[in-house]
Amino acid sequence: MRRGWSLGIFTVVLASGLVLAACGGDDDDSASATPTSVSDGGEPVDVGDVDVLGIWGADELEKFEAMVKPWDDLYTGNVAFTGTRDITAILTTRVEGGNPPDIAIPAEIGLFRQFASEGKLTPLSACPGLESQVRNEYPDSFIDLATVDGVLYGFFMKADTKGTIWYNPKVFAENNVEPLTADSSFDDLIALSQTLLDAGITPWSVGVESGAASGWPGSDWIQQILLNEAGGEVYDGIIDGSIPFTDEKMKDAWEKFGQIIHAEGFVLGGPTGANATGFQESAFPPFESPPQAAMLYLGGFASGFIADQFPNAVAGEDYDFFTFPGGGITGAANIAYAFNSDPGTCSLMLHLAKGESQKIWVELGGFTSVNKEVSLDSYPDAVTRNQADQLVAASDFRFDLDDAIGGAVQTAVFTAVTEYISDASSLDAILAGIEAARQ
Amino acid sequence: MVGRRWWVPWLWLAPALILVGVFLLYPSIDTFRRSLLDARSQDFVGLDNYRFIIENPQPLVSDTHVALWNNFLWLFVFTALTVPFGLVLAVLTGRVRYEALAKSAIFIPMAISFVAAAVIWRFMYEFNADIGTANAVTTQLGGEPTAWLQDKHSPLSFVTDAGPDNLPGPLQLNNFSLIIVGTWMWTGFAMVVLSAGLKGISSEILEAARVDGGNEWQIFWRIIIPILSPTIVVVATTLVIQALKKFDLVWVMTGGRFDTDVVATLFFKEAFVIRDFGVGAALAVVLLMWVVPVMVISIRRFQFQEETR
Amino acid sequence: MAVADDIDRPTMGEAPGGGSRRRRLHFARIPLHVAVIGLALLWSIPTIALVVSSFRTPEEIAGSGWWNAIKTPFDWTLANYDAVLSQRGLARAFLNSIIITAPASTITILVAAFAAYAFAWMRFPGRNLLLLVLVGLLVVPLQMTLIPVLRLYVALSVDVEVPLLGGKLFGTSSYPGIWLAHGAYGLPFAVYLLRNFFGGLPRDLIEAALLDGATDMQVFFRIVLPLSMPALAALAIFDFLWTWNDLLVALVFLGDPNLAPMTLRIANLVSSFGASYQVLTAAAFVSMAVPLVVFFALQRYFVQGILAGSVKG
Repeated sequence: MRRGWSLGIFTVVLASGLVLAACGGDDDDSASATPTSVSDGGEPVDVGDVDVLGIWGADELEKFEAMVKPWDDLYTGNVAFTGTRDITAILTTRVEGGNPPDIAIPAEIGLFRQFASEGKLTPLSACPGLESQVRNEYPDSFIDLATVDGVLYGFFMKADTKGTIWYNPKVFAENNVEPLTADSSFDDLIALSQTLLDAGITPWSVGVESGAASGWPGSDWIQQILLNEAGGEVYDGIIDGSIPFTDEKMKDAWEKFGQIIHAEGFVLGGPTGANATGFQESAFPPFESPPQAAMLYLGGFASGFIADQFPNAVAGEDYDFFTFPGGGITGAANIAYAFNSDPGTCSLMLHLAKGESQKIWVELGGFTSVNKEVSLDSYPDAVTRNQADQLVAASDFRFDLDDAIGGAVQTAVFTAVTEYISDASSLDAILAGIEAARQ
Repeated sequence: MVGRRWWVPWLWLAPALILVGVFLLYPSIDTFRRSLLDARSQDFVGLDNYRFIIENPQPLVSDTHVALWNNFLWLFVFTALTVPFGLVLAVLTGRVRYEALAKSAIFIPMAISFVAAAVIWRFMYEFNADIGTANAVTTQLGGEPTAWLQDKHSPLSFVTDAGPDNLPGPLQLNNFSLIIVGTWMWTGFAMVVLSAGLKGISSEILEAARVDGGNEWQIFWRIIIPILSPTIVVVATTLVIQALKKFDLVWVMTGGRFDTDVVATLFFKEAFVIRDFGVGAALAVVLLMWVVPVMVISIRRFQFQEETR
Repeated sequence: MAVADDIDRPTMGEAPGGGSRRRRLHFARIPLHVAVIGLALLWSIPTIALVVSSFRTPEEIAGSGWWNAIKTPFDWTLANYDAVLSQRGLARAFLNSIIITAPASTITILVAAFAAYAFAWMRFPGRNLLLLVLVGLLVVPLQMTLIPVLRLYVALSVDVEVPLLGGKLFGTSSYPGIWLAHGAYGLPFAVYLLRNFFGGLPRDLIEAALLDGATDMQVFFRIVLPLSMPALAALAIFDFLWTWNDLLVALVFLGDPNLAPMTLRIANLVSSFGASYQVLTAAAFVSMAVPLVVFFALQRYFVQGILAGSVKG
């Protein structure tokens, strides 16, 4: 029978697969409760596996595993890490479906706030020693952000400053231009751009395309400008809703962004190019040979792209950053939180929150820690060190604005950015639309 | 017909009915229930969510009208392109000795996951003319680079300066760019299924027609297509439904942005990004209702087929 | 039942007959070849772009179009393939993909075949309505079904470790759980397709057999299935493909990354920012290998004119 034959193929393949698997294919993190080696004396403590849901892949995943290894040595359980960029959907589905992970480490806090207020999360106090450790080792601003209704539910890993304007030092040197400082003003930035343009090089590389979240790099610009021009109180007012998006100060911030994006020749490819270029790709033109642009405004994580794409580039010489004029710093971070207080979960949370664990990843590069215990010397090069310094030492630090509000407003902001880039005249309507999304 | 006991058909149907009932029907009913509740599925809000879809009060957040119109465009253009291509390719490849090879070239797009397809077409549609194939071609021909996936102007304005810059509703360049990717992928599907149908045509009939002096054109139109029509209906129906529930492709390439949203991407955004399960569920129900006329038509065809066989 | 083998059919395109006629038709085949090859090439342009890109470094990919790779003195690299194949856990993930896909597709095809036969050749009350509902559910977006089904799985979890395969006996993080899920999700299309093909079979053949005293089972296995080989092959190709390329269902139902299929490993090749996406180009081909093998293997079932002796009309 022909059909039986195809079934036969399936069965044979399946059977051989099973045999292979049984003979122990890979000895990666398979099978649970396999005692692992212990670093110095003592038996590994018996805990179950910990199911962690996060966003990391590629080398981020490797570094996370390096960070987790000491925990692995001390406990019998394994860390089962699943990394996906669709974490919001997966996490929502699993939580609603009754099968949450043990620990989640997403990149935004909107979901965190919602879960916390619905009582789905385990407060840090449920794990012995965890809350006190976090309160000791983390700056107040980050503790406040992780507190919902007075209860502390999470801690921050892998932070990113958004106060970094990347530039090509060689281009600047060739054109006798100095990078700006925190004391500069936004007008200085415009003047700098004009100088570069007159010298014959496109000042800015801007790319806001990012799939469904297209526009977010633009919102980074606007919130950074807002913080510096209007101050922290206005910024906070926008977040909690006491100040509407249609407010003069917010409009001013958008218009200042417009001074960059709509100015003739300021941006590589113009507004059309900005909307059509992916944010990772926008990180390359300033550092190509020959450079296609002079500056790039993107968060601290951009150094990772640049280093990956240009392996021969030397941090500090071929690429560096200066602080966004004004001194106020915005940033974002991944927050880690738990759904239960099992022994395995608690011990892993404790481990991840510790300064010495985060130091492991810091030393490998691509990780900025907000844990006060991590000294600046741990950072592999001057560029990453300065980023960390900027974040920790910032007098006026604010979490990413649209991330902080989340939900419909965040979606509206992103759409508004791409709309505004393609059509400057629609600003009032756009701002009204964002405010209308706030319900 | 034959003396079957009454429970026999149900025995044959049982596994399918149970599986579909649990995994598809029960969630659909649950979704319908959620469409009448609020964003967190707590309180009853009646038809508010449907009113939201009809009134479209927040176009900046989620433009429901754009999504609905775009689905219409997909429905017509996607199907109208894919079915003929599939049919032509099924017939043509069936006649050459390297059939399997030719078929696989058309089939490969379906074998690649959506993520990989998105990666390729990113290279195709890339704005930078040094990297993007489409823009490289257009700049070679003397034009300007175009933002294929972001451009909302009418396709006509791309071809000629004389044409109107903006055509109504969904007739945007970026929609067509996406539909082209969809066709590229799904033609392989249409071709394979239609090919299966083609093989079922008795060779004697074709023989007889040729001997009677018919040329290939006539054979195609007067014999192949009529006999193949049930399969064509199956393929067309499946593609129409695919057009209605198109998600992966649009989501991965544009995320529904720049007015390329379709109902499925909007549903995803509402449910998982904006976290309004009520509106999300209502959108899903709209999708379900949309398919009913499609199914009724094709079931009618089954009946017709039965009567005439 | 003897089935014609895959020969260069003289029935299509070439007719027996006089020499001049044959010569005329031989020339007439040139436009055919031009059309087929032309279309195949057109369709392959993006695929070729992908292949070429998979051999290029990220700097090259970001710097110049893929067509340049053919011009410049072969600056090709295997780094991308290396990154994919040397990924820890890939072999196990490959196995997992097979473990997930093969039984799931088998379930879909079997269950659908039985149901399609009933829809096509048996009479029972509510037949059309049931078919309409069953196939109408084709439009249900997958994400919509996940939460209710997940709830069900959590409730029905059987926390017994399965010895050889891994995972639990049933519920989340269990292979049987995902087999049933995939099996179900593939049903609407499968039933629709098979119902169409089964229904197109000659009535006389089936009725004659039934009148002769054959049971439904015998008719099903001896007449309907063999005659529907092309349809079954087409279904098998697509159902296998869609299950093989699935990521979402695996992520939601198989929480344990040790049970995860290749799609998850491939997704992990890209960082959270989407960097290193050039590795995806190589990953696409590594992952595509198996569905292509299935495609070629099942091609042989696309056989012409099995209905020898019967007349369609």
